[in-house]
Amino acid sequence: MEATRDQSVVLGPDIMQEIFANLPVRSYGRMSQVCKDWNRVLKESDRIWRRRFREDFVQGARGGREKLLQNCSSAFMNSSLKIHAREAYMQQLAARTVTDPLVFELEGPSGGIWDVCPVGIDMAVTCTEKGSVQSWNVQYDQLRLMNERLIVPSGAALTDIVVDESLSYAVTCGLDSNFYLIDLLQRKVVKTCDSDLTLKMARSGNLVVTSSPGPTVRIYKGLFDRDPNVELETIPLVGHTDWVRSVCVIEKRGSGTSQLNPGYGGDLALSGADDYYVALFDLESAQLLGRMSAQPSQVHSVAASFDGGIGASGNSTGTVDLWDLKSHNQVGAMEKSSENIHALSFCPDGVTLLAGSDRGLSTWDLRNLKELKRFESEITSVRFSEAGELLFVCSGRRLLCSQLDKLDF
Amino acid sequence: MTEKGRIVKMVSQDQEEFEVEYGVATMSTLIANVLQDVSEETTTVPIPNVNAQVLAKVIEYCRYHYEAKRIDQSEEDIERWNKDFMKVDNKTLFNILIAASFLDIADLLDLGCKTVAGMIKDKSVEQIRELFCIEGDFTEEQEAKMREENNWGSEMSQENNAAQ
Repeated sequence: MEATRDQSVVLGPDIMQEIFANLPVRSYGRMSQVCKDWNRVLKESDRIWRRRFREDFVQGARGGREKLLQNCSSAFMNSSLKIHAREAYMQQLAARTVTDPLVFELEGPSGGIWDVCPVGIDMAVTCTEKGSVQSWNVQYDQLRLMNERLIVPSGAALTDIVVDESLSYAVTCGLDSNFYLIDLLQRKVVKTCDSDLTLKMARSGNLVVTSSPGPTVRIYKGLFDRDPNVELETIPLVGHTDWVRSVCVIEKRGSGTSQLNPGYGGDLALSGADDYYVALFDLESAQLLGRMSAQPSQVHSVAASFDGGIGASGNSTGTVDLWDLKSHNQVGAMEKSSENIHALSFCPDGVTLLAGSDRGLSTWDLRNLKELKRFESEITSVRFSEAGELLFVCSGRRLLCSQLDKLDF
Repeated sequence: MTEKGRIVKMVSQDQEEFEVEYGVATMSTLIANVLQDVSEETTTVPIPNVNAQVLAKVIEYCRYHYEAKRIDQSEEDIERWNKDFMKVDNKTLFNILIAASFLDIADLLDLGCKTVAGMIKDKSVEQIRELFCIEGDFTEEQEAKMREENNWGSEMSQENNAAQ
């Protein structure tokens, strides 16, 4: 024992920070268990986290998306971060009483916010009915409005916004039937594409899947291409007979997708329409995989669980149906009053579903299909950040944001 | 005297003297700063907390990189050399890290930290403790609690490892 103690060389916190900064975030949980000193260095070192996130961000912007995703999602899983966040939250709690389950909220100055798209791990962009686009960031437990001046030329209401893989460009669609490509760093519109009227969008790699006031779900190729000469390519997905209200993409990354779709290699899309059906498409082959009937309700919103195994549809009559996306069978239904549910999102914990309607945000426990909590307000969009650690809710002119830890279901 | 021909004498903790070219010695920001503040005649710099064995390694690193830069050595060659250079026992490695940190040689510190990070990246808590000769100083309750909280994360990392 003495001999080994002789061997021991104590590296100071500065060096340890450097070492940690070179480790994948997913290993931090393990590192924090080694000894109290290491634990302290990890927990107290804002420097590591700040540097880390900045690097990840840059890497993401250079196209290393997979790495970004891996780091982000494990940052969320990482307990030392969770501990960190929880401690900060406890302090916050001591300072004031939080009555809402949603911790941060901020009012955007220009019109109702119709959609939000999380960007990376601490940012989000929103679009409004007044044709403006804002960016927000969440840092040190605060939600900040970073920029609000960008307004599309026509001033048309913008219904949805998605961000590309590099996290540096966003596409937003307006009620003037245009797509606008926005450079998020330079904060300007770099390209305008005249196209079909689009209501909702979802991104799959470089493709954008859209829903429109019509029976067609469309795949757009080249929307994120900055070259003005590149023509938009459209692939129609046929499977509905009436207005498609909502669309979401189920990414291949989850193991669930490959199980439910062994013959196909790519991402899937789930869509809901006024024809009472929820449809599942394979984006690579543009084929309809299945149709699920939600009769007698029109489907106004759809969402899929993180692993891609379960789909949910929010209906005009206020019910939320759950679907097994493998067998295409209904596996559950949750009923509320007659509210139009137009925002749905699965919580990364896998057992909670958030449903936003004209009247409020409900949280449902999927294990017993019971409603957990309610937040009264008009909700237009509910989105989790890709890594799942932040929840954004659009409510009127306000953007609400919460860290998952702080949501008290 | 021109800086080119200038020789700096570095003295280790155990009083061993190393004669080093000015350009090589000043790869250490600390030494560069020291030499800036004193007259040109002064050539001896004591390095009180680095022993001869480690200092020799550090100088070896500086000398190679100084030359590599001068003759425009290829990136691959430098990388290969760095890799070989890092093939030392852990105690020496950690001491090099401390020396690099003290002497403020950013590249060497970075190289060392990356090497250590690579060593411990996929190791278990126990393996890391053994490697660093650290004894766990948490109570059993604390350990259990942490293990529970980390369960999710470690499953995830296993999945990731399997995927790689």
